[in-house]
Amino acid sequence: MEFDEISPETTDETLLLAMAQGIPEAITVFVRRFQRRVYGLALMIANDEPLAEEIAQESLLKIWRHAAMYDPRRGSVTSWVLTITRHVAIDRVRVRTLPRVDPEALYRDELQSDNRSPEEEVVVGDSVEFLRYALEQLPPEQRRALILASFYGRTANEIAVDESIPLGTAKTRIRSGLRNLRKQFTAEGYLNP
Amino acid sequence: MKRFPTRDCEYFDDDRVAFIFGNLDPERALNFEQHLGECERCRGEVAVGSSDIDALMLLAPEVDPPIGFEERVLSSIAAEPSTLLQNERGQRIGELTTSCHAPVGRLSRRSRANGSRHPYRQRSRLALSMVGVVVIAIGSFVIGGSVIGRLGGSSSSPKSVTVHGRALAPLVVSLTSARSDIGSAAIYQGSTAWMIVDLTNVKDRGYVRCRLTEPDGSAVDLGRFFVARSHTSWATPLPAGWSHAREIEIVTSNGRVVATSHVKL
Repeated sequence: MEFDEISPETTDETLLLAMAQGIPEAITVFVRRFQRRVYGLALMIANDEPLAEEIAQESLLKIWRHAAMYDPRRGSVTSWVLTITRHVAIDRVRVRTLPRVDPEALYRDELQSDNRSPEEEVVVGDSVEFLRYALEQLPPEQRRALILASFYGRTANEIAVDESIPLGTAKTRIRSGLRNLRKQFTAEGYLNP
Repeated sequence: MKRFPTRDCEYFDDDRVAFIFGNLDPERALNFEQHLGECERCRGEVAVGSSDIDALMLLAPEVDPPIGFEERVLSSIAAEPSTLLQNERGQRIGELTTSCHAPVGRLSRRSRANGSRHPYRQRSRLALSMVGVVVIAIGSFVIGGSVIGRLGGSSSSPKSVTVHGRALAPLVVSLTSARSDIGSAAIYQGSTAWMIVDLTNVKDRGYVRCRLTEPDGSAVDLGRFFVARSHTSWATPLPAGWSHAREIEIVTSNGRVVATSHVKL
C-alpha cells in the first residue's frame, strides 16, 4: 500500500492511519465515506437537522483529531466512528430537554431501514441483517429499554419515567436486554465487524 | 468528594450497566473505574457489553447530509491549528525531510491554487514527506536492516527521508500461501510499531484475522479485516514485544490459515 494511492478503495484502517499522519487525500476520502453514516446516526438521536449537522461535524473533527488513537484490536473503524458520534450526540442532546421518543417507532422506521450505499452493504450488510434479527428476538420491553439506553443515552431513571414503570423494572429490562443480546451474539458466533 | 468502598462486583451491578451505556454519574464513574482497575471480571463484562452496544450503532440509517456539509467539515479541519506528526500518546515522533514528488490530492491542489500559507498546506507537506517514507518502505524487502529483495510498483523516487536524523527502514516480509507470494507485511518500527498488510491474489472473500505466533506456539490476535477485492490493505499498531514473535498469520473465521510469513520475524 502506498499512501499516494489513496482512493475510495483504500481500507478504513489504512485511511485512518494516513489521516493520523495528516495526508489530505485520506481526510477527504474518509469524510466522503463516513459522512452519511455519521449524519444518519446524529439525525436519529437529535431528531433535529441543524443540531444533527453540528453533531456530525463535531464528530468528524474529533475523529480526525484522534485518528492515531484508533486501535483495531478493539473493533472496526465503523464502530469506532459511530461510538464517537453517539457520545457527541448524547452529550449535545442531553444539554437540551430530553425529547420524547418512541423506541418501537424508531426500531420499525429507522433501524429496519435499507437505505445503504452498495459499498456499505458489502462491508456491513450481513452484520446489519444479523443485528436486526438479534433485536427482533428480544422481548419488546427489553428491546425498547435497550434502544432508549444505547441510542439515546437514557438512564434507568429516565426509562422508568418514559415507560411509566418502577425503577427496578427499568434496570432489570436494561440488564436482561443486554444479557439476551449477548446470548444471541454468542449463539450465532457474531463478531463486531 | 464522597468515596464509595470497593466491594464485590454485585455492589457495582447498576454502575457497570450504566457505565457500558455511557451514562454513569461522573462521581460514581470514578469509583467504578477504580474497581475496574482491580477486577478482571468487570473489565471483561464492560468490554463485551460496550462492544455489543457499539455494534448496534451499525443499525442507524445512512442519511445524506445537507448540501455543502462535506466542504464545511473539510474547512473546519483546515482551520485547525497545525500539528506536528504525533503518535497516539501525543508525543512528537519525528520531523521528516524529503524531496519526493508524489501526486497531490484535491485539497492540497486547492490550497496551492489559493496561494495561501495555510496550516493545512503545511500539513500537506508533512504528509507528502510521509508518502516518501512509505514509498521507500514498500520498495524494499528489508530483514534486519539488509535489503533482500524489491517490490515493484513504486511511483515516485524519494531522495532522502530522515526521522531524528536516521533513515526510517521498515521490516518487510512476504506472506505466502502454498509457497506462492500473496502479499507482504511492512513493519514500521518506532516508539509505536505499525504494520501494513498487503494482500493480493487472495481467492477467499470475507473476514480474516491477523495474528502473531509466539515462540511457544501461542497467538496474539491483532484484529480482523475484510478481504473484498483482489487487493486489500490493512494497517494495525503492534503490541510491545512484537519482535519476539515467530511469524505473522492470516486466518479465516474457521481457523484456516490463508497466509503466513515465510521469513521468521
